Amino acid sequence: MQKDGIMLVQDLRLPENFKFVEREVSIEGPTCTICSDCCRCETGGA
Amino acid sequence: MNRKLDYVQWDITSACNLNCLHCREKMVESVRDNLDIKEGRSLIDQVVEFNTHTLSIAGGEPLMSPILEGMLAYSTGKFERLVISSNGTLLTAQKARMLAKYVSIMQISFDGHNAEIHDYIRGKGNFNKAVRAVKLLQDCGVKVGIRLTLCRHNKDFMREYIDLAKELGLPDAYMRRIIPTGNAAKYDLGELSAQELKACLGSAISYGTQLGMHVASADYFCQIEFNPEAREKADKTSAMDGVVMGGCAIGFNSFYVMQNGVVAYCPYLPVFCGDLRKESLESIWENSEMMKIARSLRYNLKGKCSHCKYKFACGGCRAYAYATTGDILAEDRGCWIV
Repeated sequence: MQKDGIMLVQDLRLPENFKFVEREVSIEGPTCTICSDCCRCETGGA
Repeated sequence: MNRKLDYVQWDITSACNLNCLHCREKMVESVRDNLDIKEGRSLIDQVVEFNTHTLSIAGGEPLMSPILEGMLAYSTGKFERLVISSNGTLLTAQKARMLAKYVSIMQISFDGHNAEIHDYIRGKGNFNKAVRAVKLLQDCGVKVGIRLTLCRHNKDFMREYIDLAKELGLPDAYMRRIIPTGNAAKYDLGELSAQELKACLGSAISYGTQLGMHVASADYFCQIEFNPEAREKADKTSAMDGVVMGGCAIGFNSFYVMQNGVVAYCPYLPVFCGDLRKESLESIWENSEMMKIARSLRYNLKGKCSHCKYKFACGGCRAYAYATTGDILAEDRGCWIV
């Protein structure tokens, strides 16, 4: 970790067999026109 | 560029007039060299290139940023939704009028339904200031959303929190469990067990529904439990093995920009992906090893998240997993579904 608290790759301590996957995703959004209602949104849906 | 991002959060300043007991900002102690207005414009331009739906400006306290109004003016018409998260304490009628020109939604934080609880977490006098802020914003026609960080000090007062929202004339209220990072780890405001969380959120959502309000919480497993549409969507993903269709969107259609231009995963998990003072957002998005790791997390999960049928619709909160275990791949122990 850097001295300012920003995390680097070694801080994640990923296992050696960590599997990199590049494939299709289908996240469409926002999930709601009134409220994203999800952790994408720091406003908690506002 | 043919992309469409849902959401980008930019912490415009690290300055804040409060020192809340659960502040996640305190996990990153030395980020003080905030982007200046020229760098801010460059950031906005690059985020616009990504066809971003929502730009959320947070902090610190955004109202303390000397470049806030300039950035809002520059952002006008460039996003479908422009949101500011604030503690509300510095809001004046003049600032409310300024915000009304630019902002889609103003989120004001409430950590309790009364001054006793809210001020214990946020400091004396701040409950009344937050209430005043909501009213000033409403007087200027700004849509307001309130959000509560759920901890042991407020967990037994969910109905009262919903009542507060109702009394303030708000049609909705939001909650999110505390993530033990920064001050929240230092002061231990109380991690709720999975069953406590389920009971609290269930009670709030049920009560809010009775009152005709929209009450929700951010975590996907909460949506799967309490929102029939979300569950239906999640059930479909379980039949589409390996296709990420929901849950944490970091690296898929969301990212976080720190005060100093560092692009990271999220405010609760400031994993370095790149520095906008040294490279473009496009380059970071395409080439950062950390972005590639983010896109692969769902295929490497451990514990109950690894065998949950909703892992491609949810996957748990990786920030919560890291904060509670030190392992970004660990199960989200706050989830009650598995």
